[in-house]
Amino acid sequence: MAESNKIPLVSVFIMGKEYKVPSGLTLMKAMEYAGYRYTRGAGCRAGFCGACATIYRLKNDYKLKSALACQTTVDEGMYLVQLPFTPANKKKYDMEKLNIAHNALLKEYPEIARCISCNSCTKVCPQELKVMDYVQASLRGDIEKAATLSFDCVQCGLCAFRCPAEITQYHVGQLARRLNGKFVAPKAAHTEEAVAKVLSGVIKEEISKLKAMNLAEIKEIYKKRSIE
Amino acid sequence: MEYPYYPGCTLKTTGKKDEEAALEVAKLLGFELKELPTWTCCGVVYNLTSDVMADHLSATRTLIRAQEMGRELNTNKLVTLCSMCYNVLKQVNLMYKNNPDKLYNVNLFMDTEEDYLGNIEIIHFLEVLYRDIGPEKIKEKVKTPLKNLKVDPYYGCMLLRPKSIAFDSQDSPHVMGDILSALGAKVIENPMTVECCGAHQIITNKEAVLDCVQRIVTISQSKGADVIVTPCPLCQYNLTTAQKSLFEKGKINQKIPVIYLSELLRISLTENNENYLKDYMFIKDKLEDRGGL
Ligand code: SF4
Ligand code: SF4
Ligand code: FES
Repeated sequence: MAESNKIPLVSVFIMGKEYKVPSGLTLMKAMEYAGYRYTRGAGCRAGFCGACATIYRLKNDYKLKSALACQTTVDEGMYLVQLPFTPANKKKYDMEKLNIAHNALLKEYPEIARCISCNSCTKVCPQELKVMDYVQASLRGDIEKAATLSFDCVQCGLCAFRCPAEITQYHVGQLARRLNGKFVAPKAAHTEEAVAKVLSGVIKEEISKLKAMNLAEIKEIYKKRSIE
Repeated sequence: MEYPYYPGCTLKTTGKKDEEAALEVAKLLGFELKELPTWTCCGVVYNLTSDVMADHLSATRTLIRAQEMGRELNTNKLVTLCSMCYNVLKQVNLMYKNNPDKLYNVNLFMDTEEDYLGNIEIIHFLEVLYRDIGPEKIKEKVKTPLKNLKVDPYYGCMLLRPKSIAFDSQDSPHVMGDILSALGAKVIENPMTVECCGAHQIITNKEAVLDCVQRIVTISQSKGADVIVTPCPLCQYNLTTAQKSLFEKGKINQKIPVIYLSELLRISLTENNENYLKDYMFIKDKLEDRGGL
């Protein structure tokens, strides 16, 4: 390979040790390139599961930055730390017994009243959500707003790590979305229709047909399937 | 005239009626309260510890929001409806005015916001009514005079304490009384008018609130008031809920209704106020009895 075609290398620091890795790799791939194997802190590798929370610093920058390791590419001089897991306060509740009174979220997570509006959660969120605003909306019982603002949360846990009030923002947001789905948002008619269809046995018939087929037949219909 | 307006959590939960009425009263008097597009809790209590800045962040963020909206509306004022919010925001603001080093420090910390310049003026809705509109103009707009309705204006403690943030006399305030007189009501004097209702003790020490409220309402009743009027959603909540308990315990013989100043104003400033009176039949009865309606 000609010298000019070589992928340039960048220096990153993993556990304080320097590694040269090809630029363009995601943080996750760079870790693997350096010889690390993920046993925790990796899941979908597609930006959806939130398992790969990472914090890092760049040289000469006082900002503590954050990222999803599977979604962010390496930069020169990154000091990386993977967070395998966030210990979190998660309530067990029975949706049938909850309501949407103005203190519904406060009742399950009274610690949201400790929020001092420091905005650290918003600054750290790799999904760029307005985390402080959804905590504040939760505090004043605006369930719909809390649900909408937290909709794209991947539960990476970074906000909870940064919160001086020790709030587990993403569980509060999740409860808000559940309450919103159950009590506030209009019912999805198509889901109800689909469920009714399932109950009427349409799928049962199809499944029993499949069950009766041999492997070759199944492969055959798989090949012929129509893709949307 | 448009004012940037900060509601605070109470006005969106237990104090919804106050907000509804106040927004309408503003329109009836020719001004508008424009809610800040985003806002956080005020901080609930002003932290007196001089070197803990974290507790002032909430209020500071609100001051910055007010600064942004103020540029659009060409004003440096921020209006609150809740006395508690007024108290906290105004004290934090004052702290920055008196301590430029703290303002500098907080601006360094909030490096993703524009700097707060320290120029916002926090005013309570009651001040807008009194200073910017004035009892005379309010009087001109009265549609239903509250003739002979005996009202007891109750200020509570958050609007007038400490002295540095008070906008009326701390011992014998007159602002609310003047407005109520302009509506045609008969204003009684209650020496408890600036006493605390028990405030947040309602959560941790309900008995303390019951004691406070018992003193306030007993004198109010002995002076023959038909209704207690308050500009503060927390006072309204405490006075109402505590009276229920006091009554059940036999500590008071009758309950006296407590109404927001904004609601009474709305009743008086509108002609077709049947709808607003339906929660307050006693007012209707009194007005009719005495030839008011
Ligand atoms: S809100 Fe919190 S848990 Fe959700 S994506 Fe943002 S930082 Fe992660
Ligand atoms: S980090 Fe915690 S205290 Fe700070 S704004 Fe977010 S929820 Fe509030
Ligand atoms: S591994 Fe699932 S979001 Fe990164």
